[in-house]
Amino acid sequence: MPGPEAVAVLPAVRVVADPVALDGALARALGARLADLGARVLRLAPDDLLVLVPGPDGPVLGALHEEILGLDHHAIVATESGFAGVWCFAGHVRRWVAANADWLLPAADGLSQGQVAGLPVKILVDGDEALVLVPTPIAHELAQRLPEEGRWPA
Amino acid sequence: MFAAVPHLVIDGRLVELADGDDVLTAALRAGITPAGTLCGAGDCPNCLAEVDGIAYTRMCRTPARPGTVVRLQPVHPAPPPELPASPRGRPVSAGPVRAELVEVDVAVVGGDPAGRAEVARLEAEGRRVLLADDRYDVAGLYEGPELLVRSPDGTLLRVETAHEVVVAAGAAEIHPVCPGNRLAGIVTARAATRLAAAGVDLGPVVAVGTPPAPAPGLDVTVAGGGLVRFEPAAHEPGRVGAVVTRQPDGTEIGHPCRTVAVGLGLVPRALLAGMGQGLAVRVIGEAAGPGVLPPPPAEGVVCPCSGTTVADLEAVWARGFREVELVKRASLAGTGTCQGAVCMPHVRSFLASRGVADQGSFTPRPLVRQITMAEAAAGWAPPPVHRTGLDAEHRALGARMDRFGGWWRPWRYRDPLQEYWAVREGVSLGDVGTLGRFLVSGPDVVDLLEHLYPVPIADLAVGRCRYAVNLAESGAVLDDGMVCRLGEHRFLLTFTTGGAGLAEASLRDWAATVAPRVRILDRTRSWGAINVTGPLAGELLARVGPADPLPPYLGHVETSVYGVPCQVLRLSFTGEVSYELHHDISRSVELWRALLAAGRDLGVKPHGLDTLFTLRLEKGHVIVGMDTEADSTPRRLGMDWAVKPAAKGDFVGRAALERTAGIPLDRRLVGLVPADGGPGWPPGTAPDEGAVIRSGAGAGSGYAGHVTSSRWSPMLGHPVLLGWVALDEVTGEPVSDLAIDGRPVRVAPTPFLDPEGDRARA
Repeated sequence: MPGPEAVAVLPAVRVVADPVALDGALARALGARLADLGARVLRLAPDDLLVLVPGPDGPVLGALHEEILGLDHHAIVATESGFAGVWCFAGHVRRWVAANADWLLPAADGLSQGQVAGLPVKILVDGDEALVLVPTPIAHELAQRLPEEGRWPA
Repeated sequence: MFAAVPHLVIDGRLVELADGDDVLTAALRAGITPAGTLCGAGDCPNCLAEVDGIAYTRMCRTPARPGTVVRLQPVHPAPPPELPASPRGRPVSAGPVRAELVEVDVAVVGGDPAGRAEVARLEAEGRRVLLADDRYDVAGLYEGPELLVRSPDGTLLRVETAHEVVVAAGAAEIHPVCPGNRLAGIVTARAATRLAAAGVDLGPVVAVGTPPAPAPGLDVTVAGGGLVRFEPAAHEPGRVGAVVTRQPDGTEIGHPCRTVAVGLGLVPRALLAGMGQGLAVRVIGEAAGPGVLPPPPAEGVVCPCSGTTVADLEAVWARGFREVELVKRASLAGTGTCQGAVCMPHVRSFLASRGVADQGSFTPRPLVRQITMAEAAAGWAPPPVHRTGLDAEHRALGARMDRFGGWWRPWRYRDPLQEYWAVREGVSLGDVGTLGRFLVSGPDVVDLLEHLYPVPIADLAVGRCRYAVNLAESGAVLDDGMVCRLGEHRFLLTFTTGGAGLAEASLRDWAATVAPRVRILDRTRSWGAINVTGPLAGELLARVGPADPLPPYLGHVETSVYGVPCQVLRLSFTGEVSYELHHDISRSVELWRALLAAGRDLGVKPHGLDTLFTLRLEKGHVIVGMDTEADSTPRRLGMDWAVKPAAKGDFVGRAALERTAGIPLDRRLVGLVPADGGPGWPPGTAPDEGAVIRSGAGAGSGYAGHVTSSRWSPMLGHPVLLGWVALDEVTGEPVSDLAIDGRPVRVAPTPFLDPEGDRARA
């Protein structure tokens, strides 16, 4: 697992749309299409979707345009470079949160959002791994505040 | 064969330690005995010491480790003058303290039998339980209920309970109050047993009251009668040599001894229970018991923390204090390290003996155990400082970086004057990627913006921008920026660097209130932005190939520049032709480098914030938060032109502006320059920002206001300022005969430079 020095901008697409339209699109073809493209979908808010893109964002952008704008033509679909992050061991991240936050990571997999070590973070737990995300302009702060390898809280 | 014997150091003396020793036990075994009655249970302040640089550490609660350095700490009444002063400036650091959040159903405080039985019962019910037994230091109990606990390994735990806190902290032993109770060699009965079992040679022990339980090596003689006083040893004046008791027939008997063990009864450890009043806190075991009050104290030190004596209590009584809370405040008994654990039974007994009904203890509040500054800061982290996509470029160019509005920004690169003239006469680049930027879209978006801004929005054409302020409901200016219409129902809004957070909150709040069918996407941290500014800005951009014609003044276009998709805004904060290139943050560096390379023969230079502040001040542009205050309405700022109530319906702040429109102003933000014919300021200098502006000459001069922004204008050859100035009650105009630092200044219209804006529109 890479260390904090591996914090990097994560290619993504952002969608802000009517929540009903988002629900509908995801329930229908969009969810499957994004899965086929290898994209990870993070629901940041009822009207806000962050789609992490494994490669060039063109196919994902196309799918989102097709599936969402038909339901909500006021939706905003845009390339997103505003998040940087790093994959870590989920157990490490749980202890890091316990030592540096007013909250604990839920036991179940999924997305959590809150302040950890003074930073606004989003944490996606997926089995034994966890993705820690921050806004790109504070990626350097995440790299400084995540423990170095071997220095995670016991 | 060398056999290592572990030692700690007490006042410079090597002290052997044994397995399981706490610092107090090791000290006593070596014959080092702190003064006063020792409880050995963490209740009293009598074994406080500086341990490894941390003062107010209880030796009895601190495991002894090899190499631990201890300085005994006088407790009462004050450090004797002959003690060497602590070296000043000596860095004492125990390193960062680890903090951890723990969530349980129930936290049980205290490891007495009742507590352990409760833990077993709760665990059998399947509850998540944390037992904070004697190895833990519980520092405070808060709403939740939540505990602040120092764990045995030094981690500071915040224990959040879902159900309740159970206090099973047991009972503390009553300390003696009588003459001589500050001598060394006095221990409580429980402490005597514990210390003897740990191998401490207490010598001949005389027991007063309930004798200690037997222990190996504990040689006890029980003294009958009531405790009268302790007497010092003949050859060791600081240590007890005898204890005097009074028999039922009134005779006093002296009992020679090396140690006195006092068993005067128990009082519940009530501090945590007292903090838990009104919270889900249950008290069990000895901690819930009634306890006993000792006999009324007649003479001696009552409160070892504060040095309060019985005579002090009598003086407080004589002044009329009767409430236990007031007696505490007046006498200082109970205000020290042990939070009244030692003295409060005696204070209550003192009051009871004078006919005052028992009021219980005073109200305890956290902290009940001292914590260090490192512990207080554990788990806290400073707020982050953002970096734009060009941060490394600025640093590589040698920029001096500074924090501004939560971002690292280049203050200046090399010579700010060169940066200035590049903007005014050539072309320059500025990093404006810190501006707040939001895309808003939706069927209600025009309604939202009409409500949010005090200028018309509906008539703004697609492709055009409009400057607008944001008002609070009080009518004060919250922020300012540009409204750019991207489509019939889509806009780009910009806000200031420092005000973006507040502006976003206002935007989202009003959207939820008046125009819910609006989508809002924050681009502040996703986009970079480069301001290409100066008379040659258009020429430089032409070289890097915008795919579409550049927009006119106060226009915008979505195009690509050097192959980078950009939203190009034609504005002017510097007073010169300016194009802001807003783009994906991942493309900032290539765009920046391309612009610098393409403009090399044009003399292109980046400019920093230092230069930008001069440029904008020459134009008289206000910086919200720097020139404005919490009550700065557009009228106070001289910016009535930024509000167009006649051209629109309701908007945030309208009611307040209308209500206050007829009230005369007492001050206004104005432009200031040196008065004609005055001494002025030396070239390149200007008054300090924050300088006082005075009115009237000589001794009659009075305060008239203060300077908010001040710079030397290279173009104009004199300082230019903005400042708040008092208005004449009769004329409503700024008061006359203004001066700063004794130099006369006059009010001047803004902009100071290019009032018609020809340079920006060129």
